[in-house]
Amino acid sequence: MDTELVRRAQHGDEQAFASLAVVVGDRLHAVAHRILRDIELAEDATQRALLSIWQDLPRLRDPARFDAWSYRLLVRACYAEARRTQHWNPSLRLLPTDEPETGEGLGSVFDRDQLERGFRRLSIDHRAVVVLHHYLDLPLESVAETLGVPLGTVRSRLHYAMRGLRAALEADARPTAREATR
Amino acid sequence: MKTERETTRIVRSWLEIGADRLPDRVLDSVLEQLPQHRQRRRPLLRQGRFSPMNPLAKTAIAAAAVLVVAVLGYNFLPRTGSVGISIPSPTPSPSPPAPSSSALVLNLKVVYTPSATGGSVKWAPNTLSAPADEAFQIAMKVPQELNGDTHNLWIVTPSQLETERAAIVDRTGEAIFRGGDSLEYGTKTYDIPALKAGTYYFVCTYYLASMQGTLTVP
Repeated sequence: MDTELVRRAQHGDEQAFASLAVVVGDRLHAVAHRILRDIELAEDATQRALLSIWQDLPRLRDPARFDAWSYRLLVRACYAEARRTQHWNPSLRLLPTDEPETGEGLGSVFDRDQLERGFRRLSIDHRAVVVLHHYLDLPLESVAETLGVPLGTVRSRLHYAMRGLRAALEADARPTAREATR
Repeated sequence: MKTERETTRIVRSWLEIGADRLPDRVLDSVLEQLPQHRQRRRPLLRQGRFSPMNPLAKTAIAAAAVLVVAVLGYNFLPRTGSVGISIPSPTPSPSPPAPSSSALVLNLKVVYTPSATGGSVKWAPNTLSAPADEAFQIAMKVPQELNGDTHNLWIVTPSQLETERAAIVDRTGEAIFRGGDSLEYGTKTYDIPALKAGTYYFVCTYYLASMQGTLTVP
């Protein structure tokens, strides 16, 4: 990150902030979309996060930590969007699938569907940890710093989330009721 | 049965699928809104407007200041039996109203534990107790190393914490008490209204995961 750009934006330079927003906007949007799983919510969350970044930039003490700090504001914005809308439902209950498995090629499509459902069951806290670690490749220590929570909390959230996703994938592999009675 | 490594691989490749470009209209909308969103600034001395001074210059200025005070003191302060300029004694300025002596004050600290990864913040103590149906105060002390870090104190019921968690983090949720932000180190005192008997949580909404204590009102 260009720390000089961050410094100029901290002092109210709108042009510098515009350049900064162009640089970080795509990445923030990609992360928001992966956390919220909804393109419109992700756009709203990114917009909200960019405005928070602009407003709170003067309070950022170390411009070199801009990336971690901006992800923290983005996760907060995701919370806000998830809260504001009815589309997001962390306690979504699934009906058992009755679709037959028809070969390895489609297996990945089933995986994708099951992961989507399994992921939507997770809270934003858990989703954020999965996305920051497995999508952005941030080490767990950096995830903890970004979210402002202890390392142990990050580890336990990741463990819980991955266990849930693994269970979702395995649910797909289990024989359906129709197959079991054959 | 899928192994842990296999699950990780599938999750990682699944996460690759998704939007990766922010539409221009969103960016344009943000930039159009900037003039309506004023930047929130820290007090002048903490904005970094003054560049750091080197230690030698600091020492020289301090020494010069001491010398000036000593010379002024010698020349102008009244001495017994001598004629000089008398300096009126300062009029005591009104001090801020002291809390009612009968109000219970609970002391609460924000404790910072540094680590290589940035450290963590917690409440100390993590449990408080206050009488039912009586207003009281909580004096929140923020250590110097957290100067500039934002903290606050909200009191919420267990059900509010459960159902309003995301909104509390966003500072829009329901709460029994919403204390204002503290941006500087030192002690900020919150006036808490009388509470009914029960169990509550006192939280900092900025660090909800780690700053969550129990307030018992017997």
